[in-house]
Amino acid sequence: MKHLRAMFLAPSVFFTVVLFLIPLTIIVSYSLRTRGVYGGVVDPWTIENYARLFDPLYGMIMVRSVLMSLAATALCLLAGFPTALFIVRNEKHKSLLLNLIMLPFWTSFLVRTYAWMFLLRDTGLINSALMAMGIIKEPLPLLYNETAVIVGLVYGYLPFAVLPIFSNLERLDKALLEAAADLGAKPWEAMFHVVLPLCAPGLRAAGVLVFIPCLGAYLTPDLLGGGKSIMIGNLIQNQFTTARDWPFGSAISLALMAGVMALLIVLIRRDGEEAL
Amino acid sequence: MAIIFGEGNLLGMATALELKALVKQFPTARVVDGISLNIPKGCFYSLLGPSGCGKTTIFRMIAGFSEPDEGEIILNGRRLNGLRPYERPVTTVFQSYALFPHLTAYENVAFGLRRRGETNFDKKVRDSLAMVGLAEKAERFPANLSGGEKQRTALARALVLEPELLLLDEPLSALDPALRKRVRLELKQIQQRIGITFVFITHDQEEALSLSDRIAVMNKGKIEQIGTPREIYLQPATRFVAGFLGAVNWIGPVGVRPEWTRIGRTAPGDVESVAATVETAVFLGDSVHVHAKTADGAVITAQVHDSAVDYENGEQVRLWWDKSDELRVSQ
Amino acid sequence: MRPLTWFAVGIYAFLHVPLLILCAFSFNSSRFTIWEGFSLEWYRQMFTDAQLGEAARNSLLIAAASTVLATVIGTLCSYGLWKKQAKWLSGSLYLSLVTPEIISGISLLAFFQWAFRHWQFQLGMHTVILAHVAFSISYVVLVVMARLRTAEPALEEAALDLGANEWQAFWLVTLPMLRPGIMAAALLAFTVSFDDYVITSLVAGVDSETLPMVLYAMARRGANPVVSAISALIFVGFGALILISERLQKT
Repeated sequence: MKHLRAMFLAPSVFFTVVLFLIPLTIIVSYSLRTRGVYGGVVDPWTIENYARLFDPLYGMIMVRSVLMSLAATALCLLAGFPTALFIVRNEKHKSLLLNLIMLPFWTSFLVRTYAWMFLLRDTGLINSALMAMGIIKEPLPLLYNETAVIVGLVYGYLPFAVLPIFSNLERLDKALLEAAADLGAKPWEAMFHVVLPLCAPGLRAAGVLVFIPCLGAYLTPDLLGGGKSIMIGNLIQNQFTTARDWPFGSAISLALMAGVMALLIVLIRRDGEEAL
Repeated sequence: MAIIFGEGNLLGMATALELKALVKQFPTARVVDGISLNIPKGCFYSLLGPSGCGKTTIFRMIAGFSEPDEGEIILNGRRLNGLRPYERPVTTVFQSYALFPHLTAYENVAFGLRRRGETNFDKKVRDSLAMVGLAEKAERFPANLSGGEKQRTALARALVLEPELLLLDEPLSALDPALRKRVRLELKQIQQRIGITFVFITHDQEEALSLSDRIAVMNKGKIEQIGTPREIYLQPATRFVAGFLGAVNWIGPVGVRPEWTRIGRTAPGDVESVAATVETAVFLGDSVHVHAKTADGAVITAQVHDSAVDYENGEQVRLWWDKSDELRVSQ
Repeated sequence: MRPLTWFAVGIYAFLHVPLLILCAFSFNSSRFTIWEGFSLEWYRQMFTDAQLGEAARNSLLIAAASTVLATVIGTLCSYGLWKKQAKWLSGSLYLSLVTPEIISGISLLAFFQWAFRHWQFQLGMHTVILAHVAFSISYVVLVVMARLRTAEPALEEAALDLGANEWQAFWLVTLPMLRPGIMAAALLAFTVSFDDYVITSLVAGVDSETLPMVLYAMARRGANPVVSAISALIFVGFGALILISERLQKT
């Protein structure tokens, strides 16, 4: 039996080690090296790349990424909780409603982002419609700003918020609400004092599950944000392509990775491994 | 009491399964602590005990899902230690039945015969299903069988292989109470008809008493007593056995079961009796349980079979019993 | 209607209306966002575009190959982990799931570049497929593991008890029982592979341009109704795939 199990695990161990752990190790080693004249990675070893993370120019981008991700996460939770509640209460159409939330998720992420470009750009549907109705003369600058990026992030990751809240709500004992009502709580009081506190693990999981991909987002800020609203993901890509500064790009990547892992560890410490 | 300890051969029957000084050590406890048993051929043998007493571990070691740390398992003269489950002439009816959900009842029963490379198994499968009364439902998937039907399919699946020993791991516990009693009867009848040795793992004393030829009562990894249902109920060797098999009133070292405890406003003149005050009387339909407190604080229950009898709380009563009904236990 | 219902209607509209509008306008005869009449012009252009055709073929090939590999590898892995935990492996798989795509992409790029120095090979279809298998395995393990967790452990024991050896117990009992989970996992692996832009664009060679890469380039260039047509097709295609798989899972 032991041999069978080893055989079963071998291919995934190979892929995980060779195509995930070793590449990450290479990034770690690059982050501690110096950029070569032609963009390569050369000795000597240094920690200067990490020091540069605190350069205001890059620091600003990171702070902005965090703030935008926080905004998108907050919006996802605000939109996700009532939606999950609505689905849980619709006993009859529960699975249909849930599938409808997941449906866009099964569609290409690129297509979903393009749909917003189609709506928001200067010659896009919203501007064309408003101009055709004579409400505005000049197109509104809807695309290529931070709001557009946040909208895109919320659109992209809302399903990640609805699902954990939904499964948390569904686990709640229906009798709890009846008990609360029986003890004299009005519906909104029951919501605030019973449902919301009991739903805290679901909300925390939802928050982390949305925040992490937002923080590492690349495509959304790239297509909806234009050059001025770039986030950490774009900064990393930039260092590896145009700027050809792989050591610095690696250092940013690891800082991002550290942030993601710290968040997950905090959540798992608090709510256990089943939280995710 | 020693005469019935582990002496399966006393009745002149050959031994089917012999456990010799089995030990299984888990990180936190010695769950099986030197168990020796002789199970006679053709016997319906129960391992009875509370959860955590080690009975499930013994079942897993007999079936081959786990190996003992010490001791031997011998079936009809053949040592089973070290054999894989599929090499042992033992089959199991699992607590959850473990029917393969992607196979019909027929295919579930045929599964083991196919593994043996048999090709003409159709009659065997059909006969086996007919024996448990499921001939009509052969083509159903487990999801479309009722609880009792699943249980019988699992039984047919295990018996069709004609094992030298059938293990039943709490096979009735997933059934509702009414069905449980009926299936219990069927199980006993099937065992008597085919004569295969059954080893029945249970925590339910009523099941064990009603089904078994012999019972081994276990507690904390050790055997407390082995005997026929009557022996262990009427002559429990230990206080644990007496209490596990039924309610007992303990008056010092002497135990009396509620059904043998008499109660009255006055006792017959020639018997020794105890004075007590009625605390509550619980009406149970066919009988009344009267709980009464004696002067030294012990609460004694008397089962009165006359439902018309009624006692007021606080009423002074006398309690008595036959000397021959007293349970005398060793500890 | 109650406020909660209104709110939910709004959320569903937010999720679906942009895509529906995009699909609708793919049938517009004008290339601008003013409705002028029904036309299949953009679909005609899409199907006759050689570059798009090549990219679609590449995408399908990559997605099919990586799905098969990742599903087999991931299923075996889940089973192995179910039998006995290996914290470092399940931890690494989970970590790869939450690693931002851009980081997976650049680390694979750095790895391939480093490997090129030691062995002679170049970026191309094979590197894309390897990368896709690497990130799809985690998705497969996630889905199959969820199924295994609800599985009854006694099933395999029952198979052993009835005379099956370990291999037969896996092949004849566990694998058929896992079938719906494995199919769902394969579908997920296929969609994430077919959809991936970030990692693919970093590890693709000249011969391995995929549909998302072409789509991305077209989207950046500006308004193009052909993009809407492709989007509509992908939307409908995946919708059909999911419906079919749900049907299959029910039987």
